[in-house]
Amino acid sequence: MSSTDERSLARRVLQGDRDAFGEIVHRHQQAVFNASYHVLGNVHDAEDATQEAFIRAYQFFDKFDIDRPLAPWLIRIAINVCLNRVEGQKSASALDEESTLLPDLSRGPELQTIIRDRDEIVRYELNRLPARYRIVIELRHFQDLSYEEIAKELKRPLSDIKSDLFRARKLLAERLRDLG
Amino acid sequence: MNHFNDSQLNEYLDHALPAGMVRIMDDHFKSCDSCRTRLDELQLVFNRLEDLPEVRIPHDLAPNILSRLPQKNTRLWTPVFAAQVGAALGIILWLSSQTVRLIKLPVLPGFRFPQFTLSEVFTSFLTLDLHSLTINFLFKVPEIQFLTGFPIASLPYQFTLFHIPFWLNRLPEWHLPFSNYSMPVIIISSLLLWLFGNAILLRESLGVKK
Repeated sequence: MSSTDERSLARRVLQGDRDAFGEIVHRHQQAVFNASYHVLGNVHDAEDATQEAFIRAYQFFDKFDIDRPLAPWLIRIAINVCLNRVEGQKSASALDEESTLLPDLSRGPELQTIIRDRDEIVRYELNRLPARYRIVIELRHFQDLSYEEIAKELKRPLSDIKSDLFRARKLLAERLRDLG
Repeated sequence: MNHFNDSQLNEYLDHALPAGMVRIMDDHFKSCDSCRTRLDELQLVFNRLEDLPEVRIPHDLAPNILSRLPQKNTRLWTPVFAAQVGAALGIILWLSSQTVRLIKLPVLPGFRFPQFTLSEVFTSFLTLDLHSLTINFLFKVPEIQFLTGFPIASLPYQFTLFHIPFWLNRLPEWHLPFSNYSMPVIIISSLLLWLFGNAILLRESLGVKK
């Protein structure tokens, strides 16, 4: 899709054309869903977050700079939605907690027989990480943001971002090594 | 030889280190198996994440999203609208003051517009001075003043509604007088405000941004 097409669609949305917004949803829902899935770790929540993100985007579309690409803007909104969900769902420490729904693979040999695929294992271990780690992994590895951009996006100190990112990678590296 | 810490290894793989430091680390990895192993382990995480396939969205979310879209709230007090209202109020206040008489503007040839400010009109309304209102404002728009050199200019005729048929048969010759009356100021100001407002609305509707 050319940037001209996207700009034209954005202009139509600004003029109140809902069909144009529908076209934007069609084009970007996969990317937004993926980002939400990486942070939330399950399909159902990711679907909800994706829908909420697009609705928010529509409400605040007049804030969007049409000279910039849409996808990063939409994904940032989705990540904020996910962040609010993680913070709101449980206790204040929800961001730091590992998923209790997902058992440790190295302690459950029967699970290893089910989850054989390498990508599934990586995804499984990624989902077990605390949400605050998943968010920085998403922004660094999947959205290709620099440390500084992540700090700005999440409104957190640069040192915290680096610390979370490096710990997340270390945890993943250890778990992937344990699983061989 | 000192080994590199985890932060340095991470920043090395994130390309967040200065070129000089990268060269030092490259040299070090050639001779240090321990750091090389730790780097490879970390690199594996990068590779695994990079290779991770997309999770396909289970179904098209667009219909549900579109059905839940709220009606756009059109904000009444946008900065542009507030500026327009402010400008309009400013012009009204200005026209209501005596300073408007100081402005000299060209008027239609052969015509003299009535001399009054808005405050005088309001005063007439407020005091219910209907006679003054009728005679001084309503029936004096516009008042014709014949200029020097006009054949019948010696008489100061008034242009009232009752005189329309009379003056239609006696249209004056064209002259280019300059005078200081509020009516042309009102007309020109309104025209400029209207053009300015429409230009901004057009610009916004096209989504043109700085």
